[in-house]
Amino acid sequence: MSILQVEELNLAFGGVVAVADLSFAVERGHVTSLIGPNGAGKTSVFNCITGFYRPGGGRILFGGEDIAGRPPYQITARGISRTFQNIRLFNALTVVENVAAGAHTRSSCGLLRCLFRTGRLRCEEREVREKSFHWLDFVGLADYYDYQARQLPYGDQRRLEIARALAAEPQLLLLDEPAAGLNHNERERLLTLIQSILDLGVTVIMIEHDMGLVMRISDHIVVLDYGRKIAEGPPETVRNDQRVIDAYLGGDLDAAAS
Amino acid sequence: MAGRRPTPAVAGAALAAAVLLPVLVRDPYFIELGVQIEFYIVLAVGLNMVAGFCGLLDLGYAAFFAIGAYTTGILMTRAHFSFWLAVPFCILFAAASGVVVGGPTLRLRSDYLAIVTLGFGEIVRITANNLSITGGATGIFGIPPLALGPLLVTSKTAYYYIMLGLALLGVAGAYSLRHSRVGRAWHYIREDEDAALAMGVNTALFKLYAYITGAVWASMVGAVYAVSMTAIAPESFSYNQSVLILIAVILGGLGSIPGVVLGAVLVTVLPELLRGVSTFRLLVFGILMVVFMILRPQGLWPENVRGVFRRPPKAEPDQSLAGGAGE
Amino acid sequence: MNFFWQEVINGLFVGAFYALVALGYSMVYGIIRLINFAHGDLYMVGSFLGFSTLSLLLGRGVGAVTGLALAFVVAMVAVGLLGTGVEKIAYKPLRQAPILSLLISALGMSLILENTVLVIPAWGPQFLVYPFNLPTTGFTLAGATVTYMQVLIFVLCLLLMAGLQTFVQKSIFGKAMRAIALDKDAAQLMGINVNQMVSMTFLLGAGLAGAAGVMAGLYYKEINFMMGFEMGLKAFTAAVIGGIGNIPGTVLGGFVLGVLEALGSGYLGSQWQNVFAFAILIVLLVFKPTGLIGEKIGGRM
Repeated sequence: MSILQVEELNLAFGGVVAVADLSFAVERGHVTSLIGPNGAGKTSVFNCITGFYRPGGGRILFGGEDIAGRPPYQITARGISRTFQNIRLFNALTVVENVAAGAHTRSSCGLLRCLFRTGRLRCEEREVREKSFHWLDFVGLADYYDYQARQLPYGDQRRLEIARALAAEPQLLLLDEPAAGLNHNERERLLTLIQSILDLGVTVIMIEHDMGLVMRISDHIVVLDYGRKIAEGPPETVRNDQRVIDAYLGGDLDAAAS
Repeated sequence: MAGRRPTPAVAGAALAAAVLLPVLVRDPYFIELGVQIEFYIVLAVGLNMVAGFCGLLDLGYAAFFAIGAYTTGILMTRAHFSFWLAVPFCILFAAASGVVVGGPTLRLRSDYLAIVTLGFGEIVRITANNLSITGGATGIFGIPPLALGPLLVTSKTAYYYIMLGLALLGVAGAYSLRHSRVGRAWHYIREDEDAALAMGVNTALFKLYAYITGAVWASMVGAVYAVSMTAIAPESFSYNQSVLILIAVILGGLGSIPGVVLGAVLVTVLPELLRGVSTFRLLVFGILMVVFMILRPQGLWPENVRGVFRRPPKAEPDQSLAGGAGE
Repeated sequence: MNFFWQEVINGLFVGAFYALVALGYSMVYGIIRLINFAHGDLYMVGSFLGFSTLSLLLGRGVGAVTGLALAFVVAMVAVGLLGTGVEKIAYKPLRQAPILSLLISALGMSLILENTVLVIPAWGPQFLVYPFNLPTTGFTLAGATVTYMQVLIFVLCLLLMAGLQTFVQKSIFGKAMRAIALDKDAAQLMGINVNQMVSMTFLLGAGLAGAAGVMAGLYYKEINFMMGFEMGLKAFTAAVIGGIGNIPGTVLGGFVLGVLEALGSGYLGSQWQNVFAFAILIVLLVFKPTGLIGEKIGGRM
């Protein structure tokens, strides 16, 4: 059973069409990759799924419920979490406080409980602390917990963003270009990390330009161009699809893998 | 640049000094000054939660101060409420006004928000100046003093200690909120509102929480102000007042609780030290604002972002997680 | 009906002032996406400079028209330069800083301007009276009284606004300013000196505010160091009504605000005039932040 079903998704800004009649399904426990040339609409799809854009038409079914048009914080509460293409950490705050942001949606103390420091709040604070350090350990950043996020090197910042997203305990994790700017070693670690995430039972959707990474880890690939799906299938099928090759300006997909 | 938190020694010394002041220094001038400092401490701590923690630059904060003072004044003089009965109404009206001010500004950018809140501040002041129930330009006078059982509190020294208590509560409350889900949510909104939304923070709700909390803090000051002064007038709640509170927050350090306490002290004490040149007061503060933004935007005592969580002791390898491989 | 039209005429007249001052806000916002908090105070300084110039010249027996002309020139040039000075001191160093810092710096600048005027002995905290008496002869139009001076000032405002619009549309500087407003980085890559153009924007906007200040002094006769505060808020409201960043829109916004405010204060009572104006601002920002003609604003940053 698909965890996410996108049906006839449409999105336009003024006269410019970003996504046109897009339909695809994401299987539970799989890595589904969204690829395509720049401007193909991939991040727009993410923004629709996570509630930052309201689609002009179509449905996005998550666990059977249409979440299209819901505000982002509700979608996160329902179990979808994300990272951003251009890292959006809370820069002045510490590493651990960043991760604690993910835990926000899984906790519930409101204004009065926080003000009067009730027993329930203290309990919750302990939980948030434990969870935050747990996820920091998971991505290997626990030693840096008290650094400000902006002090971390780039590769570590990407991992921190993933830890933050995981702290929201998602069923579905959206990674937007997680490998961008990473060197070879960091990329290998990313692969291992994604595999660990899958082992937890989390489903992953990934936007990526690194074809090597995409081909190695994906179970299913959806190819977009100008907002439309031009191909779909397992890696072997997609890599040999002529339309896909043409979309990347006649380039050889193997050459595109770095 | 992250700041330091006050050491127990510093905090203890400050507290001791505050408690002993009226005992050691009998001069009523200093006690009066102390009460003023305490007013500004709570106001600055309140505004800090709105502007410092949550990043909402409220330029009309004195309006909430006014609402507390006028609610107390009107209920006590016109409806003959006791102070203690008026307080819940202060809180109620303050919270409501926080929603009224916050609601329209939820989607506004910082500068628009600043001007809208300034507009609200003016609306409150002009309304207070023109309605008969608020006493118009002359305001409300003859507000009865606070009563503790059969005792009527009339001495400045007594109000000094009452406000000291309120200041301690105000500071404690701010610390409690900071180290909780709400305070963290405010910081996330301040740092990157969209990322906060993506992490499940209901930004609209939490922004309202910020306004409500700030409003309640200010209204409590207003309530005590009304009974300690026995008379209130619109001039005390003008734009200038809002600016002074903001200056305390900025000079002290946006987001820093010890910083804004320091700022409150400075904003009250510096003009007194420069008594002879009091017309230059705001000019000096204006220059300081520009200079600080360029040279030291984090303020005199910057916010301490570290140490939010202490690292839990190393536990036994956790059996319940599958594949929790870090490195 | 007499009453209604009188209020409309008065409103249009005041609206011209609002429009003139609002243009400064609008242009600065268009080019550096900042609301210059100190702008209203520039208007105030203009009126004080006009006051001093007139007091000085008329006391020496200089003719009325010459005196007035000089007062305008002095106010416009000096305030224009002051505007560029404010930009260089308080905004330029913070170009890369977060908005909050700029805003606070602008606020500080506003305090500096207000309180400098306050402490200057010749000016000070009192209300000063302009040493010039405008003739009050007029005529009636649709049952409302209009003075020739009102018409003159109104026409002067329109001329200044038209001059600005021509400059922005036709001159090379205007083109550069518009290019920067659209895309600062691309403009720089095309060889446009952004710093210079930003200074020019401030110069023009401040100059207009200075002129408005002198006109206000002449018309309302009393000036005070806090008059810029109120005008600043109103002018900002006018800019938002028409669409900030948009010159014709801002002008329209000025007139709309003037008329609405006059009608509101006429029917509700003049003590509620400002409340009415601010309420309009708030309602507008909630429901139609792009204004009547509109530039896109209000997005989160």
